[in-house]
Order: sequence, then structure tokens, then C-alpha cells
Amino acid sequence: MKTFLALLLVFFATTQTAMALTDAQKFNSANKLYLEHEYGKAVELYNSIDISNPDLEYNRASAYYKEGKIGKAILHLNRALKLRPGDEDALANLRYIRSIKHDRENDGEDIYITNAAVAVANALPINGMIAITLFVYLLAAACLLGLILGNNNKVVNLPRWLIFFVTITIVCAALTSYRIARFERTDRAVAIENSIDAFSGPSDITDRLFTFHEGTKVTIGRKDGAYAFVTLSSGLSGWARLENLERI
Amino acid sequence: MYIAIILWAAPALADDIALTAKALPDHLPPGEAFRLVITVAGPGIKSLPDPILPRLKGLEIVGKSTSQTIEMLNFSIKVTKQTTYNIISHKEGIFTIPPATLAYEGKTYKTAPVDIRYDKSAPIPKGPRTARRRPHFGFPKPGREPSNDRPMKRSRNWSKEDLKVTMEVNKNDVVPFETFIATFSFYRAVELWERPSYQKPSFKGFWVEEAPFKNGKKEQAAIERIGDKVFHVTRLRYLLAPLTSGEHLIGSANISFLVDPWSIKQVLYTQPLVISVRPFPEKGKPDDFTGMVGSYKVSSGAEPLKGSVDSSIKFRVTIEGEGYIKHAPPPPKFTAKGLEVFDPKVTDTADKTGTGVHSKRTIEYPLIPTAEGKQTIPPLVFSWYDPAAKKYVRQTTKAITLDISASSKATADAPRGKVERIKNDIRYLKPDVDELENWRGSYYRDPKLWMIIIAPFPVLLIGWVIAKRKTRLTTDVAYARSSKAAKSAQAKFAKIEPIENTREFYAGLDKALRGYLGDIWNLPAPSVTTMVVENRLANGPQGVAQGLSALFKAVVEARYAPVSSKDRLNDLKMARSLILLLEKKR
Repeated sequence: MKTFLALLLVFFATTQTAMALTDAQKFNSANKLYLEHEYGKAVELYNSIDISNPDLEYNRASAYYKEGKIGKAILHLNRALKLRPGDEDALANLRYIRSIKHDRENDGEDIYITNAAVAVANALPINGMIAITLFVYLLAAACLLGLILGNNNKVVNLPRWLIFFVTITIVCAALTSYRIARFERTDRAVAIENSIDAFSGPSDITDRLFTFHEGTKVTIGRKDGAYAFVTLSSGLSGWARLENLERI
Repeated sequence: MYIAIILWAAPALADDIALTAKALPDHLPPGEAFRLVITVAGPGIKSLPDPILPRLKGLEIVGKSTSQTIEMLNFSIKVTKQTTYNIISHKEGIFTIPPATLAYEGKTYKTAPVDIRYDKSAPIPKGPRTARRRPHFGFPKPGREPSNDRPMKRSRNWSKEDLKVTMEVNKNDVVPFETFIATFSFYRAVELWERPSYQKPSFKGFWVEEAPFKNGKKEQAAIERIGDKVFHVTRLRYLLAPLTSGEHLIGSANISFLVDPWSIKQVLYTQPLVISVRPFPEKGKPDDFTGMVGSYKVSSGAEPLKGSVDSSIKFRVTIEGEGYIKHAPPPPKFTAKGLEVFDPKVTDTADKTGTGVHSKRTIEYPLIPTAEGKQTIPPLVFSWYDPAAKKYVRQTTKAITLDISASSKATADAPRGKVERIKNDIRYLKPDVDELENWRGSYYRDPKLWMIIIAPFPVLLIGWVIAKRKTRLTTDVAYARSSKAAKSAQAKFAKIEPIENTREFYAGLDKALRGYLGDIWNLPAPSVTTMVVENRLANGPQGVAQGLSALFKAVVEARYAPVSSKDRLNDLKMARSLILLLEKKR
């Protein structure tokens, strides 16, 4: 009985310890597993973290790639880029994995804004961008209020500051909107099965139009039962089973 | 008009004619041509005939040309016609050119005799217009012949002996890749009607290149005497090298042309030539023989002889001599301990203008020392077959020792060369973190965000209103007084309320009321009389005008009669309520 209680206590304690692991600790442990070539276990641990983080998505994609799951790897790299469009590592890995996957795709589809002007913005979380935009917006409003109340003086050139902050606000708002729009876009998916048939209708008794393969990115249109109307970057379109696709 | 004047004037002015003859030069060595210029000058242009040159003894006319100029001066026309003969003699002696004659309009004109002295000691005449100095270059273009210095017969008088073609080689017993020259010659002692068309022979089995003459031109033109005929000769040269042993044939070259427009086209062929190409002898053949043929000398050198690890050194080998080295295969790449040897740069030059080919090959090996100390460039062996000596020759370059010091660079020990990728892979993981931030953008879904965004608008609106009021207060006196009137009056009422002295109390009440009314109507307080009040408030709230009038009356009465405390307070209360009524209606 004592032994049972002791075991129960140990089990309870370890479970509690496991439950108490923070996301960062899980992430670091998964990295360690990856280093030890335990890719399957690393994936499991990465998947247990329920937050959206570009580093998490990137590492998860790497582990999937090492496991040989190219479709999943491309999916999570796209998710990483969705969160942080300017991530050079993610872009490089995506380029590389796309070069070895079965289907050739139009590269123009995956153009992310990576130029210097928005590189900084791409590196920030959306909430961070919102906070910055809001801050600059309030500064612009304060300048405007100061101007209305006639508190302009020679030390603080309010009209100049107002123009400056309004401009910054517009730029930040545009970038933030773009990021939000990208983030909210849910019509993109990646093929996660090795070979997927596309049919002329939402049923496998209709004509098979073409077959696409793991890792191919598609745009999802209307849905009908278990099928969705998909369009490839080449323009090919047909009905494919949704279970074979995973939204980015 | 001008021509008409000339035609009209010409017969009228036909008068004296001058005929002269001049030899240029008149003293020259045998074999050189001189020019005899006969000039006819006189007025008029009407069918001026050519002067007639009598038969010349010991001299040969090799060319003739004419020119004519017309000058007009003060309505006088002067025509000058020059006939130039190119005349040559191959013997020494003094030759006399008899007078040339010209018959014109019944008169006969004569030149003076001209003496020419041919003497071996005479200087060779300078200038471009002698026959030897200015040979005919290239094939003539149609209509260009005859020129003044060509010994051409008239086309109607030619024979087959006046034209011939030959193909000659300077060697006909060679080994593979031994070069020799084939020369095509076209001899003609007759004018051609058209530019000849040349078809080169077949050189199957040969490496062939056009070989220029010493002047750098591909064609050579000359005048040659063969027997008693003077020929214009055009030559072309080919540099040939047989590619294999055996007998090889140089086919017929041909040239076709019209001598005169009324004869058939003439085609002349060269004789085919057989070239015997001996195989390389097996006896004494070096193992490293690569087919290089000729007679060469090999030299080598390195620069600089001292260097450091990773520095650049050039090792140069030069092979120069008779033969066409271009046919030789590229040099081998050698290895040397402590030296990295790169692919050599090979530069070939050749002079093909002589009877053979003189060529030079420069082989430049870039070297980079990889270790310090004494490093040696090993001897390199070159072998070839010398057809003149009929034997194989092997020459070895000298070993060159380089003095190499340690590299000044930090990367001295690093291997150099092209970086090659061993394997492709994805980039490595993102590193460990202390905290994993949630990047899911949630702020924009939070209503508080939108409240913060909207918040500045009411604030700005209030600010705008305040600013507007502030501005009006400072610019509109009536508004400023009116807006402060009630507050000011109430303050005054509060101030007089505790006053017990009747006169002081009512004086204060009067001041407060008139002040208030003066403020709202923007009038000075003293000008607010009962009449003004009644007039202004005639259409105002009912009873206010009467109330105010009663109060003003009470103020006047209070100066003369005592008023109870209760009445004072009632009057004060009434004043306050009247102001409230007026404020409501404003």
C-alpha cells in the first residue's frame, strides 16, 4: 500500500511537473530532441505548444522535414511566414523544400514583402505593430489638439510634428493592415498527403482532372461536403478532398 | 550658255599649237622605266589628234596614258593634251627618241628629239610612277585596263602564250604537320576585259591557311619578264600542313575571265600536285612525342623567384623556332610539391610571311606556393620531330628553385581553391528562448482598441469648442460681457446679502442689476434706466420689466425711508429670480 502510494505520489508529481512546463521550456526541449535526431518526439512536443509563434512554426517545419513530411514542413513554414513575413531562414527553407518536392509551382505566388523598408515591420508581432501604430496615432492626435487649443510655440513646432506623426501613422497603419489581412486570410492550404486527385465535381465518381502532390499550395474556394474547390498556382482547378489539405 | 560660247569661240581662236616632248628622268639604270610626256597645247578643242611617236630603237613602250585640260581666260580657250609613254630599256647606252609629229588643220607640228642615257651607275629613279616601283596589285577590275604602266597588248592581238597559271610548292616530301608553302601565280601579258574569277584548289587532307606576303597583303602583284614578254603576275600563298601520312593531292586551281568581249571565256587550270607525306619514323620516337614538328628552342623562367605562401608566382616556358607550333597539343599540367599549379595560359604567335613558318609558344603557369621553404619547379620535357635533321629532339627545361617564406596572412594554412558544396540541407533551428511570445494578433479584435482609436475625436471636438469660445471671448466684447453677466450679478448679490445698512444694500443691489443689464445689452451701467428696461423688455418674459421697474423704484425709495430686513431680502430674492428668468430666455 505504501509503495502504491509512493508511486502514485511520484506519478502525480511528475505529471504536475510536466504540466507545469512553460511553452518556452517545451520549445527548448523539442529543440534538444531535434538535435538528438528524435524528430518524431520533437514534433510531438512542438505540437503541444498552443500558441502562434514564428520560431515555433519554423522549428516544427524543420522537424517535419527531417521526418520526411514535406507537406507539413511547407505548411508550417508558410505559417511562420504568415506571422513573420521577412524571416530569411523560413524563406530559404521554403525555397529549398519547394525545389525538391514533386510539383513545380509558380514562385511568384509566394512573394513576401522582404524589402528593407518593411523588414523591421515584418519582424514584429502584429500586436507590437498595432501598439506602435496606436502610439504614433495618439501622438498625432495630441499634436492636433495642441494646435486647436492654440498652444503652438516656437520651441515645439507642432505643425511639423503633426505632419511627421500623421505620416508615420499612415505608414504603420498600412503595414499593420497588410499584416492583419495576410494573417486573417484562410483560403490557402497545403497538400499534406502524398498524392491527391482533383475531380471535376465534389465527388470521386466525377472525372479525375489532375493529381497534385504533397506540399503543393492551393487556394480553397467553395466547399461541398467533404470536398473543396481548389485552384493551383498554375491555374488548374478542381475538387479535392478537404481532409488531404491543411489550411495555412 | 557657257558651252555655246566655247563652241562659238573655238574655231575663231584656232591658231598656233605648241608640241613638246620631255623625258622624266633622262638618266637611269637599265631595267628602269622612264616617262616620255608629249604635250600638245593650243586654242580650241575641236578634235585635237594624238601626236604620233615614231618607232623606237632599243626601247620598249610598256604603257601609255593621255590626259586633257581646258582653261578659259578672258574669253580665250586653251586646251592642253598630254600623252605619257612609259618606256623601258634593259641595255646601257644613249637612246634618242625621234621627234613626235602632229598634223592639225593642214599643218604639221614636231617635237624636238629627246636623248635618254641608260647607265648602270645612274641612280634608281624615285617616285611611284615607274613601272617597277608601282606594280599592278591584285586582279584588275573590268574597264580599268589598260593603265599607263601596264605592258598590255591590245585585246584583239593576244595569244594563249600571253596567259598562264601555276601552282608551286616549296616542299613535296614532308611528314605530318610539317608546314610548306603553295603559291598560285597568274601571269598575263594581255589586257583583260573583266576581273578574273578565281577558284582555289582542293586541299583535302591538309591544314590550310592563307599565308600573307612580307608586306602583309594576301595578294602580291609584280611585273616579270619571261623571255621577250613582260607579264603582270598576281600571286596567292597558302600555308599547308598534311594531317596524316600518305600521298595527298593538291587539286587544280582555276581562273576564268574574258580577254575581250567578242571571244569566249577563258579558263586556265593549274596542274594538280602530289605531296608525299612520310610517316614519323618509329626509331627513336620518344614516349611523350605528341606530333610537334619543327626545329625549336625551349627556354623557361619563373618570376619572382622569392615569394611567400599564398603569393602568386608565374612560371613561363617559351618554345620558339621554325615550324607551326599551333598544331601542337596544349602543354601538360604538372604537379610540384609545395606548389599549387593552375591551368596554363598558352599564347601562340606565328610569322607566315617567309618561305616557312616561324612560330613562338609562350606557356604561362600560375603557381601559388602552399608551403614555406625551398620549393622546386620540376624540369619539363618537350619533344618534337625535326624534319630538317630527320630526327626526334627532346629538350628539358631547367629545374627552378623558389625561396618561399611563411604567409603573412592568417589563413596561410587553409587550403585554397573553389568551395564545393557537399550536401544541401535546410537551415538550422531557431535557438532556445527564455519566453515564447504569442504572436497571434489579438489586439485588433479587442473593442478597447477601437475605443482608444475613437477617443481622440470627442476630445478634439471639445478642444475645438473651447478654442472657439476662448477666441470669441477675446474678440467679441458683447459676448464676453453677456456670458459673464449672470455670474457677476450673482456674485454681487451674494456680497450685499449680509449688509444691514439699507442705503448700502440697495446701492449694491442697484449696481448689480444695472451692471447685469448693461452686460447683457452691452451698455454702460448708468445708461440702464427704467425707460430703457421697459423698452428692451417690452417683448420679454412677462412681468420681468415691471419687476425690474419696481426694484429700481424700491432702490430710490430706500434712500429716503427705512426698509425692513425682510423687505430687503424679498427684493434680493426678486432680483435673483428676475435674473434667472432673463437667463432662461436668453
